[in-house]
Amino acid sequence: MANICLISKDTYFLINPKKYLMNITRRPEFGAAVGLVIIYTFFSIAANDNGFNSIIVFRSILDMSVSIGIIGMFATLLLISGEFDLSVGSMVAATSMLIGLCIVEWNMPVWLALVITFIFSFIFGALQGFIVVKAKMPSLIVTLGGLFFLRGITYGVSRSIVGRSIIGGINEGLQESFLYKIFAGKIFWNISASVIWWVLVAITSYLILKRTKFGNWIFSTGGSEKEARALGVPTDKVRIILFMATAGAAALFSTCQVLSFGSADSMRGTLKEMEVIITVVIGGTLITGGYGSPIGTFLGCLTLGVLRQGIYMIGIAPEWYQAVLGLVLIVAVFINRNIQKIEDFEK
Amino acid sequence: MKNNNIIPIIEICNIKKNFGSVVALTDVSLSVYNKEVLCLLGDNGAGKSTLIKILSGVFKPDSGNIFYNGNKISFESSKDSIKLGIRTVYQDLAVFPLMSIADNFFVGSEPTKKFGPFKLLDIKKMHTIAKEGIEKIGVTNVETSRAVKTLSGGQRQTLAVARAEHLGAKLLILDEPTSALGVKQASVVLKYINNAKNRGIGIIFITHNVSHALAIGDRFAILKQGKLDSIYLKSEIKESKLIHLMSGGDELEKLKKEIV
Repeated sequence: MANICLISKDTYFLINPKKYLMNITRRPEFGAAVGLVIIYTFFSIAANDNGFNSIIVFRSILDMSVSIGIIGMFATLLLISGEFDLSVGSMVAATSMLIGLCIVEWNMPVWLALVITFIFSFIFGALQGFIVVKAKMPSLIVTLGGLFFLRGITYGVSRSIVGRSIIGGINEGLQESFLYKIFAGKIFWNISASVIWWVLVAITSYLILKRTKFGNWIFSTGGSEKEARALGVPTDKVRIILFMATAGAAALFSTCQVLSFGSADSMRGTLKEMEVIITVVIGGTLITGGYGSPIGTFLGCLTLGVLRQGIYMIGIAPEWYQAVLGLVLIVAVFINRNIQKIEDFEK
Repeated sequence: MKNNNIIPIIEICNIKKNFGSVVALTDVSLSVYNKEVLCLLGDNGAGKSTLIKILSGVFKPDSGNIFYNGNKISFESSKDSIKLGIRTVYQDLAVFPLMSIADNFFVGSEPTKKFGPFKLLDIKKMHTIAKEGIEKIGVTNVETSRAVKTLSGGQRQTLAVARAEHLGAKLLILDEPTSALGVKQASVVLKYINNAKNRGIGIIFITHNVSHALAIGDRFAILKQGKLDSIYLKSEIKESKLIHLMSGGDELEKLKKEIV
C-alpha cells in the first residue's frame, strides 16, 4: 500500500531524499503540477512563433485562470467536505445583474451595491446549504435546481425592470474611485487586480484547510460525516458556511468583472460551474470528498488558462478548447487515481 | 466487580424508547463501573444500537433516567455526552482513512495556538501527541503525517479507541470493534481495550464473537427484543451457556426441531 505524506517536513529531504521525492509524487496536487508543466511547455514551443511567450499572453492566461480560480478555491473546500455547487455560474450572472441594477437603475453608491450583492450571495448560498443539510437532499440536485432557478430569475427580473437582459455603462465615471481601483484596477505589468484577489483567496483557502480547526473539520466532514459528528464536529455548520463562501466567491469574481467591463449580462457565467468542477478534480481533489488540495485547484486553473490561450494562439478554432478540456479531465483523473492509489477509498 | 459501595459511572433506570409503534426498548436498567468491561450481547434488533445511541446522546429516551456518577442527567445532543467523557467508537467509520494519523487523532478537539488575532492549529503538538498515542498502541517507526489508510485494520480500530481515550473518555462504548478483523488484528484491539480498562475507564463492549467477549468481559448483559434478559458475572457463566445465549439460543433450538 502506498503511503501518502499529507504534511511534509521542511527538512525531510536532507535525511531521506528518495523518500522525500516519493512523498512529493503522492501529494494530491502533484498530477496537476506535472500536467501544467507539460501543457505549458507544449504551447510555448508550438505557439512560440505566434508570440505565446510574451507578457501580454501571460497576462491573458492569468485573466482566464482567474475567471475560474476565485470560485474554484472555495469550491475545492466545498468538494472536500463532500458537496457540489452547480449554481455558481448562475450566481455570477445574478450578482452582475444585481450590481448593475443597484448602480445604474437605482443610483446607489458602489459600496452599497456591493454590500447588497454580497449579502444576497451569502443568503442564497446559506439557503442552498440549509436545504442540503436539513432536508438531507443531494447537493447535486439542490444546486442544479439553484442553477436554473437563479438563471431564470436573473433573466426575468432584468427583462421586467430594464426591458433587456444586459445592462451597460456601470463603471462610468468610477475609474478614479477607490472601489474601482481595488476590484478592477491594474497592478505592475498591467496585471488585473482580480489576479491579486485570486491569490489572496487561494492563500486564505489553503490556510483555512491546512492550518485551522475548521480545515480539519472540512476533511472529516467529507471523509465520514457520521463519525465526524460523533466526534463533535458541527458538520451541518461546516457545509453551510462553505456553501456561503462559494457563493460569496462567485459574487467577488462578478464584482471584479462588472467593474472592469462596465456591463452586466444575465447569460454570463454559463457552464462556469462545470469548468470549476473540472479544475477542482484536475487538481487532485476526490469527487467523493475527504481528500484534496487548493494548491491543486490553483494549478488546475492555470492549466485551463494555458489551454484556452494556447489553442487560440496556435491558430485553430477556439472551440477545440472544449474537446481538449474534456480529454485533459479524463486523463488527469486517471493519472491521479493511479499515482495515488486512492481508488480503494472511493465509495 | 459489582460493588454496592461505589457509584457507577453511568446508570440507566427503566429506559423506554419507541419509534412510532415499534418498541425498541422497554424498562432497561443497567450500570457500568470504572475499571470494568460490560459486554452487551444480543441478536440484531434486540435494541443494542438504540441503547448505545441513547447513551451517546443521539436519541432521547421516551421515559426513564440516566445517572452520571450518581447525578441525574439528560442529553440534548451527542455533544453533551461527549462533554461528560462518553465516547462511542463505531465499527467501520471509526477513522478517516485519507487523513493523516495526526489529523485523525484530533478531529473535533484540535489543539490551537494564537497567531496574532487568529487561532491556528498547533501542528507540532498534534504530531508529538499522536506519535505518543500510536506508540502506545504498538505502532512505532511510522510518520504521523502518513495517511491512516496505510495502517492495518486492527491498528486503525485501535487508533480510534486510543483517540477516544486521549480525548478524555471516562466511558467508552465500542460498537463491534473487532467484528471485521482477523484473529491477530482483533487481539491487538482487545489487548488495548483491556489496558484501557486497567487505566480506569469503564467500557461497554458490543460484539457477536463469544471468544472476544469472554477474553476481556467482566459482566455480560443480554438484550432480547428490547428487554434486558439477564446479566451474568464472568464467574457465573460458562462458555457453552454464553454461546447458547448469543447465537439466538432457544430460537435456534426451535428451528432445529422444525427442520428435523
